[in-house]
Amino acid sequence: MGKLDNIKTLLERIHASEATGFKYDEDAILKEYKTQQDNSSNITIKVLSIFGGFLATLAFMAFLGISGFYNSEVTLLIFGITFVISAIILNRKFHKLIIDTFSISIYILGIILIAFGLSELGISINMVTLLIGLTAISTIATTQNLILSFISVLIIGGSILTLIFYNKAYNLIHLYIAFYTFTLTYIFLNEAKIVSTGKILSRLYNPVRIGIIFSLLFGLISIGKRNLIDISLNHIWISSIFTAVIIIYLVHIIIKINQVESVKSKVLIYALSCLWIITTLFAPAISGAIIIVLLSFLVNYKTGLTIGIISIIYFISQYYYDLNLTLLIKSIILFSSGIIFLGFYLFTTKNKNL
Amino acid sequence: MSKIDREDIQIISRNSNWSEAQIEKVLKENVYNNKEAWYKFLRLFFISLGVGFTTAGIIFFFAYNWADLHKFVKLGLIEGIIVISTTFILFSNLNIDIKNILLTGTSIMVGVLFAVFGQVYQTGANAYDFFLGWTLFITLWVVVSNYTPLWFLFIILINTTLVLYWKQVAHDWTEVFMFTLIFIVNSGFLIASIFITKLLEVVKIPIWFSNTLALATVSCSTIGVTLGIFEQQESSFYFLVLITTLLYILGIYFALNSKSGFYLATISFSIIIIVSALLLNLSNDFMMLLFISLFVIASVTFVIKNLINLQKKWAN
Repeated sequence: MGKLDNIKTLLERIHASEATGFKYDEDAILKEYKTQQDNSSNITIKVLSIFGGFLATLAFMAFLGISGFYNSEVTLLIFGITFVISAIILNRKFHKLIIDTFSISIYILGIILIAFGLSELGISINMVTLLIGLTAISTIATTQNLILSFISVLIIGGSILTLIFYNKAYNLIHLYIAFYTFTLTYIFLNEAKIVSTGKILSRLYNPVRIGIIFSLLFGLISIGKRNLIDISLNHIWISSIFTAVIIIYLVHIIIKINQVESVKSKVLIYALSCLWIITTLFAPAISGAIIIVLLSFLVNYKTGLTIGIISIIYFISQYYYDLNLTLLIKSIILFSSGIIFLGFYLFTTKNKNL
Repeated sequence: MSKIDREDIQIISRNSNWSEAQIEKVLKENVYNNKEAWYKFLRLFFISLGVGFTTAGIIFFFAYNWADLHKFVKLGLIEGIIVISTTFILFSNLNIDIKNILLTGTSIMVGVLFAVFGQVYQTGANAYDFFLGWTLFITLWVVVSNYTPLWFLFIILINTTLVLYWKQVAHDWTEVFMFTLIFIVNSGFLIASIFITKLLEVVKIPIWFSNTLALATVSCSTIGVTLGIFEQQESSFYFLVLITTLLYILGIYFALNSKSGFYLATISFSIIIIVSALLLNLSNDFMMLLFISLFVIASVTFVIKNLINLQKKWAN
């Protein structure tokens, strides 16, 4: 059965299930399908266009450096603004995948040039970062192109981090992590609500989701990699509070999906989860990565799941290099976490029909 | 009726007054994971993390007690763990996936054993022979279990051994030669894995394995050739160029036959980097750099256009 017939059947089915009058614009749907099929891409093509964009940007930066254009702030600014605007216009005009590489290159380049130009003009780093962040926000508002929106979300996260680092307000990183963890959870758990709110939000859903995952990872890396930022180890558990709340909430949802009824099982699950949270009190990065895995599996989002698993492995290995704790404490924490997971395993195996 | 995916739901909801509750219902029924999937996932998730964390905990414990323990106790304990877990794997009637995960944990313990041995007898903890020993002694398990993550560990160990051998012993090997060697080894594994899947239909190699291996292989040839271009050319460079060309042709041929966009994209991007390096070697004045940036955009766009066309052709 062809894809289009498939859609028609689906539409009829929805029509039957909706009690109130279900109205849809069949032409618009079919047209969007046609565009989608003409531009059907996979992750390989997206990554290729992003890498190509970066490589071209690099070469062009070298060109600017050697040719001496760097010496004129105004030229840099003019170039930068023109590039950003043309990237946005190109994306609004042509919904074609093949211009992605080009528009990504000039967009990133434009952002870099604006940043350079402004700071050369003597404007403070804080101001420059704010302006860059605002540019990214307006980009998302004007174009809902997948890759540009994704890059803009990353730029926004990067700008916030730059502000935190530049002003040495390192403890704000906990707020950053809290904000992104809650946002991520909200986006994952309210897919239907966001998608049905409006066209713009529906288009932004995919790029923002992946962008937020990466932004959260930036934050987690900042606290997961010791000595990267000057943050007191005594306060690192603050981030763990936020991740703990989310993990318990997710456990609650997972219990529902798996139809665990008996009170004894529920108590045991919550107790094991709490124990596990305590063992990772000083490693919020690991629990953050676990949140990404659980959320991604919950909504069956494979890219997120892969990213989550890779980051779990990374954060656990990073923990090893963390020299602020003695090896004995590390050993006890890891070993007891492992035993708790094995406990979970035995529990799920024994109670196959929970 | 074929499966409804996320894209379908998004497109329809953008052009209709589909209610939130109904979307939620369709998402839950068609896209999200159900109880069965959760059960399978959680089991694997827990056992992997359980074995991983426990092994790591044991490793850290030994690292902590390094100085205090008698060497007999150190080696004996680790060997004891290895013997117990292999016996358990051999004679218990656990699920095969779980056994494989345990075996992977045990293989890492073999590495710990060699590290401790190295410490006790002062052979150094990162000497190449430590990795060589580790590689050799898990070979049998790798072959018998035929478990992909274990193969992955095995290949990483071989690469590490080679690189360390080059750094510590074979000082006369050039960088280009080193990359040629790793390139040959990894492409050998890649080709073998592809051949085995073709020959024996029962063997299924996960796509992440062959793709990661392919990415590593192509990275070796790309870095090797790019380095060679900027350095004094030697015989191994010409050899690397020759086998890279041969393997890329083979790779493209294979990709076209097996409809793999990934291989085509990776090989093309590698060629684009190599050509950019060639251009940069010709001249590094600013016009050339401008030309290179335009060349990259044009060539990547060209590759993407062709990939999209190919995908459309393959889809029909």
